[in-house]
Amino acid sequence: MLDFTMGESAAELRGRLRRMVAEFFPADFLGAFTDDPADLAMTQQFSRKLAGEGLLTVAWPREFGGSDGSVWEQTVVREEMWAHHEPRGPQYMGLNWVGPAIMAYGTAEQKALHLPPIATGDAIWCQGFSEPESGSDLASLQTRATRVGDHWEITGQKIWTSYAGMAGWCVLAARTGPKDSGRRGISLFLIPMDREGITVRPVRAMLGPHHLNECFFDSVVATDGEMLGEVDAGWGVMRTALAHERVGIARYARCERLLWLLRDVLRHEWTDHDEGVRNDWASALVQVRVARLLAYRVVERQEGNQMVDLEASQARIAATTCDQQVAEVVSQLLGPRSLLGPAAGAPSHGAFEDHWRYAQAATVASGTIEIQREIVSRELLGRPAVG
Amino acid sequence: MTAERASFRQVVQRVLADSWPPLAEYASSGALPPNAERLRKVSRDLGWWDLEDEDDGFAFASIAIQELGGALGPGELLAGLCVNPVLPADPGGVACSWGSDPRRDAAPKLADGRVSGEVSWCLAAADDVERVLVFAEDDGEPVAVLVRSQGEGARLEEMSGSDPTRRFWRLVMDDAPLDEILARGDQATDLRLAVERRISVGLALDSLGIAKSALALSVAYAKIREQFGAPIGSFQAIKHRCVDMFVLVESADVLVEAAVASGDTQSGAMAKAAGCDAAAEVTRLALQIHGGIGYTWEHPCHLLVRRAKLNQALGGSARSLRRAVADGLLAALGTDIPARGERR
Repeated sequence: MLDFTMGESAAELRGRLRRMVAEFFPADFLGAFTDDPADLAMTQQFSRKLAGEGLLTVAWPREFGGSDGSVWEQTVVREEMWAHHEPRGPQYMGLNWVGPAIMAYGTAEQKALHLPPIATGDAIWCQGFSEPESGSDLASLQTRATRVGDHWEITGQKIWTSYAGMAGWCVLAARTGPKDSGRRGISLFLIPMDREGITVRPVRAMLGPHHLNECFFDSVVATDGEMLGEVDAGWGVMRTALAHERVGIARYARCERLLWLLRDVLRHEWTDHDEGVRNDWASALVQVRVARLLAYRVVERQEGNQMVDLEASQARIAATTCDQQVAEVVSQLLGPRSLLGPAAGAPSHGAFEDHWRYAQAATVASGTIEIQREIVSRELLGRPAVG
Repeated sequence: MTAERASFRQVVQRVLADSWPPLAEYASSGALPPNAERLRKVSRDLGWWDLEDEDDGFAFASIAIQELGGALGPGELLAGLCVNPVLPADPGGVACSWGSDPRRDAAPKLADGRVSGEVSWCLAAADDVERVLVFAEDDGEPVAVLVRSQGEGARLEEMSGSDPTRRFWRLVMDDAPLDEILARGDQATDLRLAVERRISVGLALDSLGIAKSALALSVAYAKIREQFGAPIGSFQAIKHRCVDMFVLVESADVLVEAAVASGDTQSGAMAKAAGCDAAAEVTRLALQIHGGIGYTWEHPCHLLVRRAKLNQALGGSARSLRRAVADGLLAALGTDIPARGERR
């Protein structure tokens, strides 16, 4: 049963998280990925603080360092964190899907090695999936893992790797099957980023500094013990991971917060705006709520261990288009002020401009909106016969 | 005439190729915006700044403005070619606001020869802003004055925003002595309307150039980028986006051309609203077609998006411009139409 407010304990948790963020971060905090290294350091400290209070991996089982909380508590954490510019910095990938994937597919040794540092907020993970020639067609990836004696040697290039410059570990997808084996010949490796042969180059992009990177792998050695799951069986794990990733960022939560901020920033100016503008503001809010509820539906099914490809992609389409819709409403209501950066006396310390830039990438990252539509259409239409 | 214009467009393109970095290079240079000195000199030598001394001059100027837009050209030339010809002052170093919104920014006040208030999003026809054109109120009467930007009681701040390719300024005046009164009363209002119209058309032209560049880049990329063993342009999802972009560009093109030819307020408002909206959407679609590479500083796509978005927000929102168009058309019905909020 979907419960929009999630009850009193959720409200309490929300309040607690908001107080923690407000006490820990300055009002102009816009996330870990800035040119000021202090921002990243602060998010690392905050993650440890959350871990200390059992809130970082709240829904993980106790045996792996979690609090045995519900997925709904995890959802509240996810929403409040994203709404407040992700004060966990680059942590969410580890606790959202890398950890759970290791719980599901990892060996006892892998669990013992990797889960505790994620639960304490000490490990940063990145995900080596996309390649320059394998974006939307991810299953065509060509980074090669070759068997040499009793180990593997991995050579290839990854791109759009978030957090690669700060990560200690990487979940690396490499081809272990024949070149044209598609999704049947991919394996996953858990590799430390300081291993010989790995080079990371930052890619400067519209999202801001330190977001995206290119990674080069030159005969990087990996042991059998570093493979996650069975050989050639990586795609199934990736598919689950991508479904998690598609709802792993509660974009709608920041959207809703921005709409309220906008209400307050405009204050008396609302009287100048005609009905159409109010209509657009409310429409955006409705879309935000839709995205939220669709995400809850995915969480509910994931909890029941059901396949969620269609639901996750549908929720992703709703969340990413609502990101852009909110950016549009902001720009209509604030005019050129919405495009002022933090240094120029912008409203809400530049949070609106930051959102506009970030929203532009929403329908491309984690699978383009075209690919999300493909995934939905496959289940919706099957493969209709031509002619 | 058509042939003359076509050959002038080729001249502009050659000058840009010679005196301004190509989009790809511009994007990766990092040091933005590029130095416009050479382009400024060449364009002066070629008489672009005086085109309007001739009949039909603005039609030619508009070609240059649009081509400059497509090359992410400097703000100096946009201001110089588009707005300066309607200013009754020696335009050297004069900036004026491209982003005033009368509903939000109260008009600066003039009293005893001194001005107080603020004007933002000022763009100058030169590297340095020496004086700023301020539309102020003197005891309720509209006045157009020039204020020294570096003088007593005046402070000039650079405005940094999403678009790093163009420099805008904010002038904060606190009892700043005025330099010159250009016009009063109806003449001041007429001057303000003339400047606003030029800004509308100028932003529409700049955005149209941007949209054309974004379309060209996207179509070229859709032909060469392969996924799933085929160029992405062979997939219907991408084909249709390219066609949507093309239709938006062509629709904006005819409206903007009509606005350049007609010179009335309404066509300027329509061109600004439609042209800037089209460019914002076309550049957004361009990012979508390019995928990740479009967001990076290695590709000009993100700069086109930023410029298109700022142009859309400057010079009066599409909503307020369309409203003005509607008000103008409804006014022709006579006085029987109730004002907003009134019921009969």
